[in-house]
Amino acid sequence: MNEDKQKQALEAARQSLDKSVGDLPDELTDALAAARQRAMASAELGSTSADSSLTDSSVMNGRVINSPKLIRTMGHNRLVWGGAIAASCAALTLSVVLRQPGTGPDILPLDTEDSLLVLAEMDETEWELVQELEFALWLSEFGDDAPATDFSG
Amino acid sequence: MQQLDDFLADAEKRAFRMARMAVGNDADALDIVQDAMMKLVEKYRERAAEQWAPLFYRILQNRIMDFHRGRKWHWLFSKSANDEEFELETAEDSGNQPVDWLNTERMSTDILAEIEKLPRQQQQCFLLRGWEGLSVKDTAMAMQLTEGSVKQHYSRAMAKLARVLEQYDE
Repeated sequence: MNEDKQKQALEAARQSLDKSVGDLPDELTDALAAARQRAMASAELGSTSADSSLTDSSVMNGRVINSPKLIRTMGHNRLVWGGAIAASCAALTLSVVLRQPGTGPDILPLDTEDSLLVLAEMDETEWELVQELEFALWLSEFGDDAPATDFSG
Repeated sequence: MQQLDDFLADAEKRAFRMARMAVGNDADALDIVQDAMMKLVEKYRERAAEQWAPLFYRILQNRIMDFHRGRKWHWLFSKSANDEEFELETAEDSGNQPVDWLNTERMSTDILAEIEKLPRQQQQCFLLRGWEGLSVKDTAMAMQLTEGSVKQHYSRAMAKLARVLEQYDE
């Protein structure tokens, strides 16, 4: 594709998208601002009140990891833990396979019916736990270097 | 905290547009952005500021994927109905406007429509990489794709958008 054409298309798309953001109705922009304020307020509540904290802190490999309240509230229910662990192992296996070089989404696409059925059968609790574990795994890959955010092509 | 608030204030509308394009309706898009902001603030506010963007968009993309996983069949059948909820204003009623302005408005409308029609991964790759300005690496992390896949999706999206632009070449 002609590079100039590509640049023009990108610039036109950016302008269109920026304009569409400017055209958002007031009720939506107000709702977004309110959501942001709630998020910031919850952070301040969390930092001042240990009892109502939404997360617990623990140390893993010398790094502080915040575990979700979900894990504390699941308590000692063996059935819940057993189901969640089994489901998380299945989902993490999928994630690890997808992360292998050359295996990408084309080799094991998440939109295949079997994969979707497996994932869709997990309930919300199991999903939350799977997501937290997957996110912790991804976060551990960050290492000590902050990810670069560059705008170069 | 003020810095984090400023970051979210800057990103929230673009994040909403991304989510809106991915899920097809305002209410779910708003929920997704709210969840993403809440999670970023609760869990990652202590992270360095330069990490907030990739973290925030990773959370956002996770929420979008949750939405599609949880509602895959409902989404397939409801998307065509929801397409009508967000109709962009066109210049068709502005009979007295100059032709150049009309063409620009039409082009803008057509480009946005094309972005909305893109397959979800192409769409979100384009929005994160081309609009938000994330690097290939950060986009790959946010989308849980390989860097090669990001480049491929982005390239395909750009090709489609360039074809829209060609219609307006004189």
